[in-house]
Amino acid sequence: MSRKLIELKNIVKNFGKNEIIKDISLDVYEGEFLTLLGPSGCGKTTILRMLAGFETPTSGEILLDGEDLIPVPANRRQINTVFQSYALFPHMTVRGNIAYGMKMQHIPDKEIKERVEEMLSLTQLESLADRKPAQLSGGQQQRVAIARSLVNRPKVLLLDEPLGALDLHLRKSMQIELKRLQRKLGTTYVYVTHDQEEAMTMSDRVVVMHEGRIEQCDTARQIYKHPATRFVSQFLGDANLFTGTYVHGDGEAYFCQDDGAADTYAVRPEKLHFVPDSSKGMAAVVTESTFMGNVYRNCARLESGQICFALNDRPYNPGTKVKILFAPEDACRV
Amino acid sequence: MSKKFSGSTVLVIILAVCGFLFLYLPVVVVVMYSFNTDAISSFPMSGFTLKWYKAMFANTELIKSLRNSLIVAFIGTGLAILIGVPGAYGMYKLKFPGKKALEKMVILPMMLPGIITGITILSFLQLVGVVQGAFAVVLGHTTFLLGTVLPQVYTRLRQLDRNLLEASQDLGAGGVQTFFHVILPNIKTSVFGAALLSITLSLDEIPVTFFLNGVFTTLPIKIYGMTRNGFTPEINAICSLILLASVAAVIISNKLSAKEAV
Repeated sequence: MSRKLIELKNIVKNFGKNEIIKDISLDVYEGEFLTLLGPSGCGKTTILRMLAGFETPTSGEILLDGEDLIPVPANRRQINTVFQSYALFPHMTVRGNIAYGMKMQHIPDKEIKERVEEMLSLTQLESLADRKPAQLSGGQQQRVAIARSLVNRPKVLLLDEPLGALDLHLRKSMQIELKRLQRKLGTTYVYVTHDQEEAMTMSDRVVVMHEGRIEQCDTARQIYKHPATRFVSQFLGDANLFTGTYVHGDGEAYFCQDDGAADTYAVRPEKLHFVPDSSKGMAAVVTESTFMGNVYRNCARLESGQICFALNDRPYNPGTKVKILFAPEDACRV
Repeated sequence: MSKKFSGSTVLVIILAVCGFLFLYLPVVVVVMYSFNTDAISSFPMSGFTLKWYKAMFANTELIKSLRNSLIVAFIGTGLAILIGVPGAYGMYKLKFPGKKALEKMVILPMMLPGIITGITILSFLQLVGVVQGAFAVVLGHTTFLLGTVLPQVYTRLRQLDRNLLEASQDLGAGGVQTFFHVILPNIKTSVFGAALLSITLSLDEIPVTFFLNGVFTTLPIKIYGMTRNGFTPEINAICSLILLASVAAVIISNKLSAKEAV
């Protein structure tokens, strides 16, 4: 793994009496695409704003390249932000917006010009360079906001739900665009979103946050396969939660739910199998079967009354008695 | 006309016309009389002349008071802008306890009767040892003009996306750079509009000036004095000119604010 670029150490942030960030420690590595994922109010945007310099942690340390970042004001940090509202300067053209950061750094005019043109072509904005933001579509404004930040060659690019205001189709293409720019320029991205799919498809690592704490920090694949907590299992993808004793053997596993054991496990719906004639497994009755296009969503009621659901490639008639089984490695204690 | 108006619509139209006549008929009469050959205000007009305008320009005291008024209006407005715009920016940018109360207090001078403002400023200036005269009038006007400039500019600032400030900072700009490169270009028309309005307000101000002027005479005070010693048509002439300037200023000011608010 490459070297640590940002280190957050025991960060706490209070707003008045509200503890928004409760003791968070996190490392961001150079060149990675790190996503802070969580429901609104979980503190992800606050972390971003502390990195940008718009908020100061109540306690804790932030290091950039090993140096204390907290006393550095926002305008002296080699970190740029793409705002959710874009915050383009309405009185400047696209070109003016992109050049602004470099002008503030007193970079020579000739170099500013070159870098603006380079960035315009990289983001395919050449034909719009002399327009004002009001004359651009949402997706185009978004590209300008990204170009305006990236042109300054920041060590870290912070993105605060940058695709939140775009429609689904545009969002997909901007996701690809963002990844392409990141690979091309090698910039470290810290990305904030509440969209789990966005987080999974784009990030090298995902930090799942909940109520001011980090629930889990790992690759999307690892988090999906091995969610650390109940919250993570349900926030990133869907999960069935079972309470009981884990029983396994012969490549099959199930839960024994009548012995009073209180451990909870999460199993992804696509990992659950409905087996009509089996001596083992959790007895259940199919209640519903819905065609989803590529799969069927089958629901069943366990003897305990709990409803679980599975994604399978075939439907089951409601009322069918089945046993529910899964592969031993597909259960995750949460 | 294919469509007939109902009785109530006709009534509304009549009332509206009456309202407009009530507001603007006196104005029209003054302008008309300023071109009347007869020295006595009478109708119908006995002929068309520009002699009252000539008389007005020949009246050195009147012209001097106009000059005084213009000086006060421009300096007062300039000071009000210099204090009011940064003040409004500070109120917009900073968060502090009592901000809401301050927002309300700022418009208070505009709501207060001029006579109160006049007396309070007079008492205060006497307390700090400023004598009545030109300087006192400028200070007085600056004070009440601040009450128009600051709220107007503040209202415009509050329409701006607060993220613009942070975006500018994020891109490396300090506070002063952000103000001149990002904030001011986005509020400049309302600043200009506020300045125009201030100038018009200052030009026809009597109550505050009355308490502070001493021997320093502004145009409205002069006109007021002239009407007491007998009404001459040159007053109509100068009133018409001021009217023209005021209407122009108000139109420009409205146009600019409307354009910027998009």
